Amino acid sequence: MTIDSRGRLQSTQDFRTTALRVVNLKKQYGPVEVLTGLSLTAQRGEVISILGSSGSGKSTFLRCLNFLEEPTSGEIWVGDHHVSMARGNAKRRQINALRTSLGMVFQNFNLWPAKTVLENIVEAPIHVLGLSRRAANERALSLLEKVGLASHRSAYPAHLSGGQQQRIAIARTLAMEPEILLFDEPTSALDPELVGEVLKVIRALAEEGRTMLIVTHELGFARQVSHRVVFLHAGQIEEEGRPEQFFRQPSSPRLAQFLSSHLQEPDR
Amino acid sequence: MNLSLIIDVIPRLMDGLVLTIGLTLAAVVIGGTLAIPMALMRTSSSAIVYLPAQIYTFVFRGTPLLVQLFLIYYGASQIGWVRFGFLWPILRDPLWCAVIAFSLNHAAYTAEILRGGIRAIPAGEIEAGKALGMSYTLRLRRLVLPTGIRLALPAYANEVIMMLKASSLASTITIMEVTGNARKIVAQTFSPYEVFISAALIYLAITLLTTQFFRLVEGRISRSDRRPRSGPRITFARGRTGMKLAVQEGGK
Repeated sequence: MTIDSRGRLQSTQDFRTTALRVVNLKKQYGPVEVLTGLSLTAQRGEVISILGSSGSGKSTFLRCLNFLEEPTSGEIWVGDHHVSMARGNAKRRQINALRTSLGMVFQNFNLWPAKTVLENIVEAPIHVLGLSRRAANERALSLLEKVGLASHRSAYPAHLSGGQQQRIAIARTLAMEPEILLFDEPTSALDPELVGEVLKVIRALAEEGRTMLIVTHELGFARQVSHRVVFLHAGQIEEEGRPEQFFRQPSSPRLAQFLSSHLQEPDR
Repeated sequence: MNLSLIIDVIPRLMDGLVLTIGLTLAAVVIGGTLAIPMALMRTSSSAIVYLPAQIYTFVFRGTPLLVQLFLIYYGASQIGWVRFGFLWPILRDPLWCAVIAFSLNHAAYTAEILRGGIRAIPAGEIEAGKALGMSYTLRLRRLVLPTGIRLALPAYANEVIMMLKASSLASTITIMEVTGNARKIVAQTFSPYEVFISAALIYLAITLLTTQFFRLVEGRISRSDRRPRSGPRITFARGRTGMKLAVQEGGK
């Protein structure tokens, strides 16, 4: 993976294997159909940004992938895990296995306020993966180093800024060594001046060649960092493509309208 | 009012203190243990699970503790099979009857308080656990119960104090705790005023200790909520000319 003169990621090798495959995912809340049959495949190392206006189902899509919302029907493959909704409800154990290979970063960080930064990060590695406290601490410290917050390891979340909290939340997710990272509007709850530090961390992760799905409103960021951009409308993929073509020549009038209304804002 | 009598009576009332504290502690321990599964049942979405707990709390909150105590103490002996069953040695002892009544009653109230605490946990904190692959039992043990208890603690402290004072009802079934002792001394001295003031002073003292204990516990577990004194400190001062707002630069 290299970066070209405009700071855009260029893949130097083909993605050989499929990291994620979603087939015909549907989600209904009562009579309302939020996802109307969504299919998406992500190759290993691919960064996919998901755009769409509010209500288009982008957050629901991410939340269905790790069963924070139970999909009504559809099939999901993540690595070796396969969960199908075709034959009734998925098993709890299947879901937990699926969740450990999908790392989720939330809009509101969702750190545990009564635990210190370090305790937040080592919690799941120790109790879910069965790591020793020592190994978990080591892993946590190196991740804190990576997000630039090693000196805050004993602080409580309430003592940190939103940007710092989101970086801790990213470290907590990374500590589980997931195969795929899901970002659910990671910068939407942040003050404008704090957005940059979080995007920087996400960009660094993209450069490491991680597989990532990013739901975002940061169009400029999506354009720079993604290999592929997906536009959702009414619970389906309305348009997808490489960022250059996606942003310059949108073929769907809805996407064109979405872009023109969003790009008027100053580009970050 | 005879001040010296008030003071003289206190040591004699202290004989009942062990029983008052013992009854309260027993109710807190047994009732608290029962309350945890009951609170979890109450948070379930399945009617088969939450209905029994809901009926239980309805019955025990909806009837006076004194009536419950009488039902267990006087009522149990009316049922033939109880008198010959293995529980009879327990149910014929007034102390055990009080422990049972207080525990069951305390469990109902505590379950409600704990349920409130659990429901107050921000959904995102639990979702974070789910997303990290934590199983239901692990989330319960590591997130739901610790956080729920933490949030329920102020209300629970209140309930413990209520229980402490309610333990005086045990005196109605011949138990010689503080109030029971007081009644005995009143019968001997014919000075209810002084004796019950002494009893009240003893209850006040234990309540004070209990509140201090819970304040300490709350202080310890709410460390994470307090912000460190690194930001600017804002102070208000009210002077003759009006109010003054001062902002001081704070250091680490």
